[in-house]
Amino acid sequence: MSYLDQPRLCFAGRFQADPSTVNNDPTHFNNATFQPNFQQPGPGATNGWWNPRGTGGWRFYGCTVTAVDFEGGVADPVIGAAVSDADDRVSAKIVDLDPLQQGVSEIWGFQVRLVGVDNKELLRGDYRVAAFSDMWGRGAGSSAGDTSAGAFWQSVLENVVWGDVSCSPFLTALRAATQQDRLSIKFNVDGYNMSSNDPEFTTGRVVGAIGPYFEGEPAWFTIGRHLVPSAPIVNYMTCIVDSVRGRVVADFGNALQTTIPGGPVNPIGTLSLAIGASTPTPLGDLTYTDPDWYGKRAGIQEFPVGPAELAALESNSLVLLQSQAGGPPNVLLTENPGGWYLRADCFVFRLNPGESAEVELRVSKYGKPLAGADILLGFTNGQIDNSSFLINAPADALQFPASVTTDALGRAVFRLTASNPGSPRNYLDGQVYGVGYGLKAANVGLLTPNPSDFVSVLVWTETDFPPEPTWWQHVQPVLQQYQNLYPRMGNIVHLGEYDSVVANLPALQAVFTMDRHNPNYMPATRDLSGSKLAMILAWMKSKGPDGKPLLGVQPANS
Amino acid sequence: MPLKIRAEAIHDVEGLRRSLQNAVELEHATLPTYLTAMYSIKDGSNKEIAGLIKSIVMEEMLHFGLACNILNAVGGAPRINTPNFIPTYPGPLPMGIGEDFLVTLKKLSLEQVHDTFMRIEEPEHPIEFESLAAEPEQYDTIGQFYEAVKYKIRKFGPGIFTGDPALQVSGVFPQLVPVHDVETACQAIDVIIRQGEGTATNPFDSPGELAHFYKFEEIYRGKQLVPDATAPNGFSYTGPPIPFDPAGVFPMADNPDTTKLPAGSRALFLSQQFNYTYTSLLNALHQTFNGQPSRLDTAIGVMYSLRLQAQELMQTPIDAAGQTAGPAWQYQPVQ
Repeated sequence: MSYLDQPRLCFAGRFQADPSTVNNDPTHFNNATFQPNFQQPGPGATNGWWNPRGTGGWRFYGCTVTAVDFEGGVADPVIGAAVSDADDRVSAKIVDLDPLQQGVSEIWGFQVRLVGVDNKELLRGDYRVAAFSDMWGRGAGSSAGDTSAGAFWQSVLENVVWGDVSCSPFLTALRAATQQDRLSIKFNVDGYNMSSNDPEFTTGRVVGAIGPYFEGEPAWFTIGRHLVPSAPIVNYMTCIVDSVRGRVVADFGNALQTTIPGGPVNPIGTLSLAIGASTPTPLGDLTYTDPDWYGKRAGIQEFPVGPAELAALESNSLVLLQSQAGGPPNVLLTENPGGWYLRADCFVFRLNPGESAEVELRVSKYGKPLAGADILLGFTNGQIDNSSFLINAPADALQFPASVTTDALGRAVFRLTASNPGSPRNYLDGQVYGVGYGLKAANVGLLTPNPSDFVSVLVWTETDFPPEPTWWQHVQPVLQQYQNLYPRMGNIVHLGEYDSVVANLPALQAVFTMDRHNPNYMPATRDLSGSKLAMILAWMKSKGPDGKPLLGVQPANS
Repeated sequence: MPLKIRAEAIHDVEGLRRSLQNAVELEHATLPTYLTAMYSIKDGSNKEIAGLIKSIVMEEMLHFGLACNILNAVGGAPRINTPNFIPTYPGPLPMGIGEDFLVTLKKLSLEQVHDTFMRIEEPEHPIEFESLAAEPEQYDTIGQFYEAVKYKIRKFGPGIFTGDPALQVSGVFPQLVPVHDVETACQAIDVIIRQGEGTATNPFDSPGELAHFYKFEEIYRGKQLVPDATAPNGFSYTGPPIPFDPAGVFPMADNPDTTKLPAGSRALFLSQQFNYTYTSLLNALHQTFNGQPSRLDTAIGVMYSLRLQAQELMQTPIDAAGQTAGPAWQYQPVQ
């Protein structure tokens, strides 16, 4: 079960994403060529893009529950409740994997709370770190950068703590339905404001849904029916078939364009969901011109299906049709031929040499787990930027099998194992790798139709440091890079300056040794290698003749 | 004259707990006004003044922590995260202190230092250094209030220390130490009194460390307080200069109030964000002093965010004259 099942609530409001943009340009990581202008707004070749003073903060802002859907109906006291974030710590952080892979920005240290109109907390849960997916040009009135983009984040809330929900039949039902103290959550973002003079700068529209989670389900996507666009005016989307309730539940939340970024859905005539492309069986029209369709119900629409349709869905594709005057409808979206679908659950990893991680793949056919399916694995560029550096090299620094086969549950797990890649990118630590996967039987190599569907891995460099590192020889070059890239930190500490770092030593030791999931963890960008972190911590503990950490000898050219 | 206080006499341990809760609220109540002035200093400007205010703020935070520790030690539970914990600004200090004296939120100025900060910290007998004469059963100044609390703790004796030792918070400040008996409680109160007022005979609460009132007076007079054999009390404001540069202060409009900001404005967005962060700080502190001492690091992390957000507000114009928004320090349970 997932956010598409019942009991389901929808919410809407604004989000803030406040990343620093100095690090958007890989060359800005080079201390030797860094220019003060890179910390000023402006084009990246000479400046620091559109938000050089970003804090990395991620927030929900003014979000409320807009609708519920459960056995008890569509009314409940929880409607109007605030969907807020943590109220006892700093904000969550939005984090790129690497300057060459900015297409899987993750949210770290996020907590989601439901707070009733009486300010009583109804539930809170820890948002499991997740990256956005399926970014596309959603705003039809296209403009530059991310403003016209749309994407979604899907994950689970863990360690869910419930308040007194007895006043809400909906929440009582949700609590009873979900498992493992988890909930499924998915939200779409669009209309992101990148104009620094605008009151809504760094904010955008967020519309999403929360529903039950079942043990054994993926955390970051929903097993169901996955539709692939055949025209650029629509995007990938997910449906589920609820045979018990006799419903197809379709999530169009990130699938249809808007008239302007963050605006209403672009009217493109009569759209209908149907079974089969050639002789379609219509299931119903989309009511997308109703402002509440997206604004309150997150673009999630249910279509009643009877036994005949349920039977047909076992071996036929779901399709989205656009009516054409005097002719057959356009097929805008359809499932893969044969109804297969393949996706990795978690798809972003950071590894130090010697570390490994499990990747879990799921294969389904017309929404049912597919056992015994062979999956090919290999390096892919995917959406990683390889224009300035060779990526995926050295290949032997990231090991994984050439293929895996799904078990009875349609699940295949393989292991990524990292070794030292050296420094193939000079001033950029480590190397970034893309690992592609493809269904052998589909005969499409490593491709899935969705360009977002591959695994991104950052493998850090193992750097050798002496047991007694010094400021000038070892620490300063590492921390100077952070001072360059995150100028907002300069309001608290000048990381490239010995006196400032020493003056803030206890606080810095605390944040450098926190769990990486803590929103206070430093560096907020979560891109410091294990060997460099160990070196910095060793240095912080060292004591020179003056009782302060070892200064070393300033190089002549610094 | 020092600010007068109106508070109940302490008759029993319940009354002691109420007084200590008042102490927690009092120690907190001065922080928004001091921090607003400190945040209003542009990075790199007015360094000496910034350092002096920071040192006072750090000690107020220590006093807050010590008051919580004492309250926990005598079986109480600090209530830190309720809407009415937060004073209204401009508004009075807790316990009716100073009657019609209103604490304001203003950018750093010599007037603010003189009219508000020095008034808050005014010792029992500034400069005259006479010993405290009041009967500790009665009190009408902050210093006397703490003396009365100490007196009652000694009078009630060891039996009142029924609190769970696991609630005690230590660390960050060397003087933030656990309180578990009459002596440690009285030592903690002595630290609070001494750092606020100095000793009865010396403006320094410890070697090289002036009591708050005198630090503020240094700022106001623009000179360090130094030993001076020719002065009647052995000290005078004739030391090295403490320069004040008004250009090094953000032009924040007085007494920021989130509720008065226009809908849809950047200032409102940032002001609400600040309030939510401030409320988050109070929640983190509440957890810290109610059984989760390890949350102190989290609270400190939130304080760094507060500073960044306050300074962003102070760079956000709200009128044609170029005045800017500022931190309102208001309760906001959701954002």
